[in-house]
Amino acid sequence: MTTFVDTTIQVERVFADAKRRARLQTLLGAEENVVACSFSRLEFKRVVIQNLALTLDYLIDEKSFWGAMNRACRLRSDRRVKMLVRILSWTGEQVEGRFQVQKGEGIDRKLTLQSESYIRNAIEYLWHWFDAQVLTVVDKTECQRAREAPRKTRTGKWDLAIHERKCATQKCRNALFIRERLPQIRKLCRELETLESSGRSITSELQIALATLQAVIKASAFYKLYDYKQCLAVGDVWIHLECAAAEIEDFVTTNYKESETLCPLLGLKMVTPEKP
Amino acid sequence: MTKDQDRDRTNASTEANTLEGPRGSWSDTISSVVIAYDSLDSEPSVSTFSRRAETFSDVEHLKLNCGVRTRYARDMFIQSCEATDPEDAEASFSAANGAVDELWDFAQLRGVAFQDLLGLIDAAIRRVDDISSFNPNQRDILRQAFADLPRPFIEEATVSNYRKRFAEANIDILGPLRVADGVQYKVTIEEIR
Repeated sequence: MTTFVDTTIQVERVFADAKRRARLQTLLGAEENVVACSFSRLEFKRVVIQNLALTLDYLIDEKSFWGAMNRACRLRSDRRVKMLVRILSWTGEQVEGRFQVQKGEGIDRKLTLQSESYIRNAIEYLWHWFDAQVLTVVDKTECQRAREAPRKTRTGKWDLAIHERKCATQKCRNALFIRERLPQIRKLCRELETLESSGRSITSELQIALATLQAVIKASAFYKLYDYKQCLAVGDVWIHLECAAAEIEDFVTTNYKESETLCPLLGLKMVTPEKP
Repeated sequence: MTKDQDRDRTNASTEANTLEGPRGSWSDTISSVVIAYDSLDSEPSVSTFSRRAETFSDVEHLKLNCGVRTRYARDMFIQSCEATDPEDAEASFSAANGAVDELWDFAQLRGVAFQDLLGLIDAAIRRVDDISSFNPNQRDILRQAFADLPRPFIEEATVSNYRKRFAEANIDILGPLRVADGVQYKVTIEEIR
């Protein structure tokens, strides 16, 4: 049986602890049964791979593991601090207690080399992994930003910036996709409105998506969806709509709040892995 | 190994033992080169090593040791793949793992491509108990990666290709970036200028 996975599941498939990954594997079965979508790939790039690239930037700029850690702490980049701590834990370096290091020397130099290498590898690996570990990546939106692979620069850093302005060149077909599914989208908007008016709250993300879709439909200004920020505002809808268009019933996610509303409205069955 | 090669090797061992240098450990180093040569068919002749040995700088000395360790790691990994006895396989795998870990001490002498290939292999095997954790396809890719490790010049495109192949074969290299089960760290950094 084919299942559709959203971005949260793709992230968990790589970063959850061993037990949880095993449970997910059991739930999803072989990768031949799993389908994802291109908009999820864009989110995966924005959230996961970009964070790796920024951590790598710290290491390259500081030329020091502890310098990068210090910078991440100073900037309160919790995710990057955690990543560096994980690498430290992985390498098994003995850093118990209080100790002093010379920036870029000895143990610090070795840790820097290791960290840079692990992260550089992970950036490119994850980009390929996203597509390799699913049957297919459906792509009704033909999102061009989701096709832009990480690019290594001369400085050794990776360029993972999203070229937002290029969206205005209208190379994707997200507006067409919405138009093709217009009856379904209108129905979705009506039902979201009904939910709101009946006092049952919908999440702020869905409120934003609803407002964006309403504005676009009302003015017949579908071209507005070619704007990157407008497109992102509809993010959850794109992913659920891709699943519906692929005629896959099972939508696997841990994004409970949005999916428990969107799935029934689009005729999908929300499947959630057991909570950790 | 041909007879000529064997004769070269013997001569080199003799030469190596007669070398004098600032360190008493030189002859040990040279003999370890000869051992490494034993396990390779395509390496430069031992007499080349000996000529180089006479003009060793510290960096060359370390690079040579690095080469020895890469070949040892490769051979141990291949041995673990081919072992018929599970305990032999485990012992060889453990030796390959240890050699990979040691290679980080030499990594700064080599280019980024070497470091990344080492990082790729390290992340794939470090927390794996034995070779049976990999399926035949994964083993084959890892064997090729190990075989590329001793090359003096590794191209970035080669490493890039391995990253893709590792992803396609689902060889897990994300261990270093993943939450370790049940481990908590508290790090406080104090900058001293």
